[in-house]
Amino acid sequence: MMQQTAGWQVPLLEVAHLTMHFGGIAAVEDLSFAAYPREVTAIIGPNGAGKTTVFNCLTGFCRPRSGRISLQGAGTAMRIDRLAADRIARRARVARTFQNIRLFAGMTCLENLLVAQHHRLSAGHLFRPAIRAAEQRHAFNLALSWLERLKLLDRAAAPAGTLPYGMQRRLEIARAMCMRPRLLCLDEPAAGLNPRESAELKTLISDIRHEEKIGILLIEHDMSVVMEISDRIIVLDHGKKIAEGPPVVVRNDPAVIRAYLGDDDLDQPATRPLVSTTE
Amino acid sequence: MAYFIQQLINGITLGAIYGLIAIGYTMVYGVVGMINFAHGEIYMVGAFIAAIAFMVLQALGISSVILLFAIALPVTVVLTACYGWTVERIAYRPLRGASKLAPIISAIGMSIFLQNFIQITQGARVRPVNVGLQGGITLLERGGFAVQVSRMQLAIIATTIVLVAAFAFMIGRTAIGRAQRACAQDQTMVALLGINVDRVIAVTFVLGAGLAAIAGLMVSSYYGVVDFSRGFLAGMKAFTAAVLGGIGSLPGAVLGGVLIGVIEALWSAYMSIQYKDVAVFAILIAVLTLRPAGLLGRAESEKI
Amino acid sequence: MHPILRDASLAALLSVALTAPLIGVQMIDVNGGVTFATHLDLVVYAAAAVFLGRLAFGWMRALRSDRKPPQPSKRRGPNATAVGLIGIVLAAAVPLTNSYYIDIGTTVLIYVMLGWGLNLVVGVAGLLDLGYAAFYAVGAYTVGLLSTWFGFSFWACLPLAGLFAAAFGVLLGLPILRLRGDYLAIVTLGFGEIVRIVLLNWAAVTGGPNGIGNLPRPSFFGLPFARSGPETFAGFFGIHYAPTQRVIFQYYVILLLALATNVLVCWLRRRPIGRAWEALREDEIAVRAMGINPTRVKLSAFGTGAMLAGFAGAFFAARQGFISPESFTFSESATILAIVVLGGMGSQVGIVLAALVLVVLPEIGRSFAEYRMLLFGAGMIAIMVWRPGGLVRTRSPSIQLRQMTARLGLQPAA
Repeated sequence: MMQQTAGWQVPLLEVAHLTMHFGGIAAVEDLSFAAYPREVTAIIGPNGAGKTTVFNCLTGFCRPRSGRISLQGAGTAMRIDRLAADRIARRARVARTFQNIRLFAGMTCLENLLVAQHHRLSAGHLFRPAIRAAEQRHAFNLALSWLERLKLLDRAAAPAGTLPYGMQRRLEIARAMCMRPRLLCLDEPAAGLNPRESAELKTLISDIRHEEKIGILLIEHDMSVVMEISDRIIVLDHGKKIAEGPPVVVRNDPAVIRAYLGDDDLDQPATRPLVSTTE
Repeated sequence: MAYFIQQLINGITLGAIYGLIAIGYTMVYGVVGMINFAHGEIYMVGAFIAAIAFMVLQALGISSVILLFAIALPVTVVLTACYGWTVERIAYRPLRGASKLAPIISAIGMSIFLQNFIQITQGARVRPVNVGLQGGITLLERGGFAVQVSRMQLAIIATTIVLVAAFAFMIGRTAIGRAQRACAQDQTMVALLGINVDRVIAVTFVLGAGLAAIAGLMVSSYYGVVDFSRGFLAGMKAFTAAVLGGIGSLPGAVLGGVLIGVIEALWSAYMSIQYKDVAVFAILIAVLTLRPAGLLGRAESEKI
Repeated sequence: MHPILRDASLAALLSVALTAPLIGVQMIDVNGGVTFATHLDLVVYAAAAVFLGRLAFGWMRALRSDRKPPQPSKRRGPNATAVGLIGIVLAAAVPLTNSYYIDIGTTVLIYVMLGWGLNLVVGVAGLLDLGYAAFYAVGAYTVGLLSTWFGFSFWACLPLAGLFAAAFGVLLGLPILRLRGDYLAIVTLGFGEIVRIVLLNWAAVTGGPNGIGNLPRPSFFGLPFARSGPETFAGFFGIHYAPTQRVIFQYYVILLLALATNVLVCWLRRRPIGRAWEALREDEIAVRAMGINPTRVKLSAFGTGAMLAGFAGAFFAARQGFISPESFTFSESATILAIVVLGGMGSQVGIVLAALVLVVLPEIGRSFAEYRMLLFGAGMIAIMVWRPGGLVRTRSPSIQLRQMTARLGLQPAA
């Protein structure tokens, strides 16, 4: 599924010269890229390439050494590289999922979806009960719609930790969506999923991409997922960007293949694509 | 000036004691990642066992101080180490990998249990201990005030130096020390390598208890009393020392211990003795708030 | 040797090592010194008990491994609301008994209130506070100081006690609440000790070890429970004065305070803030990713818990008539924590039961009173190892789907 990116589109997320060091090791080095609304932008690369570090810098869980990250809000761009995680989530409306699922395991599925709407539900409006009731209704409706969508209505009262693994992953995405984000960051959502769950995940992400006007940033190792649903791919290796473009271009890029398979294949003629096009 | 030096000597002695206890905290924290709340009580158990050992030996007719120490020391260390091992086995090992609150509460429960155990079995009264090295040497005299180092103080400082050196050697050079350091970094990997993680952790607790036992024995002799409530306070201060020096760092524990001991001695001497404990607790809060890694420790980071 | 036999022998040997020095030899005071008595028989009994117990344990474990694992019970616990109502009725009826039971009941209710308060901090929000007695003390000494210096009555002091305790909680919480579990525990412990030491030594203000006495008792809408005076409770209602009138009234005061605490705590737990507290306990990083400021959430839990302790402290002071630093030691904090842990962190009913056990058991026997803290320490370990959920294991979610759909006016999902 490939979309042409309209050249005139204003980027939702702009990362400029992002650099992050961990104790002497450059995890991310001078990285610049952009992500657009209504697109799925994937960040791939071998292990240790710095992908989750990029996410952590984006979402405020680590402070970059240098660089600039800005998010396009309603009208104006907001600089987020120095903000704390909760402010980025709340003000810039950036939601994320985690590599190791971080659901509130002891709380019910419904409660997980409601915590994501904490601010909406606890909005002041002490003296305007009508507004408070309306906000509450919106929040409840959103949670309900996601429960229906994930077919979790009968498990709404089950502790989130008791769900099957694939369902937990999707619940985490639903929870992130309940924050009504502008940018959704998914950190390896397909990790550990079997093919059926993987297919369900792909459907979910595609649906989100089509229905909501948000941008999706995706870290993933599962190439079938990446190639099928991404609009553009950014490839990192050792913290640096080595390729960027639509899937068809990236998968045949020799630099990318070299990064994944090692230098031995340099002498091989006509590189094998990363993912067979017949899939 | 002479008074200051005297307080300094007192403080260093006290600090040596704190350092020995602090090593126990820091080793356990390094290997298991939790604070052994019951460690202060282990120290106090050691002090009591030492006092009782002294009493029994004297009743048996032994009067030579050297002999008393020579017999009481290994007895105290072995018996206290048994307590250390049991504490880990009962209160901590079943909870490894459980939620973060469970081991802490279990540790607090163990601490309460031990403190009350001693109080019930040995009575709440402070008891005298009359075994100790007598005499000392005068370092210098200034303005009518003699700076003295007692033999007991010299023994404490010397013992601490020897023990710390032995520990540093053990951690750095021996197989068990390597295993400990490896456990501190990645327990799963260590287990996969075929090392018995349970045993490494048990050994860590036992060693810490042994050090605390020696500290307890020396304190019983030095101060001439045993008091069941001492464990709690000493434990808190030793923990402060471990934190100040940098939790997880062996030299840090010793350094922190000496610093806390000196600060406490000087505060008691020049400010108010009533609030000396407040001073130490305030240091704890300050260090944890401002510089949690302490002086020699590394900053922790959680993997997201 | 058979492994179970060897295991039991080693355990017995260990038991000898543990019991011989401290139980086998007991230090006794004599005139001018100390001597000891030996109880080697106890050591032998203990070793025998451990040996047999370990044998039995080993055999049972070997037997059980052949059977199927036990099925989780599907039985639902009793309805919490029903239990609560029964409890309230029973509690309201206590003053019909004699003043001894009323006295115990009053003490139990104070601890229930403290337990519910600490439960908010530890059980719901997951913040380990080992210095809760400090806030208890703030409430008590607020009454002490305001009444002594400014002549405030109990009822005037009560809200201020909660306010000051909450302020203390927020002030203390600001720098320390970002610390990890263990560290937070130790720091709060340290703070509790600091407060106690200051109370003990700042005699000019706090009265030092002697504390403050002559504290005002709660009055009935301004009518004191005195024998004589311009206006007394007995005089107003035209009845004979009896000392039990005050005792009964105090009991109902604490009962009302406890009920109010329960209502507040349950209400808060159903609100978004209660959910945020529980989410914080589950995973702080995820909470941050939801756009929630964890420090603010922690402060609200800490401060609310402190406020409740302040109220309890104020009542405690008024009931006793005097206060001293002795009542606010770490032992007190540990006791309240034990109530929360044993009662089941998160369970309102469980905490009531634990408080009952705590107060009533030592009354039953002298030996219980001595062994009380020992048993509590052992109990905390046992609970954590075997039933981390506490004696009463419940977690009722803050909101049910039914309630939500009802709120939205929709038909509940089939």
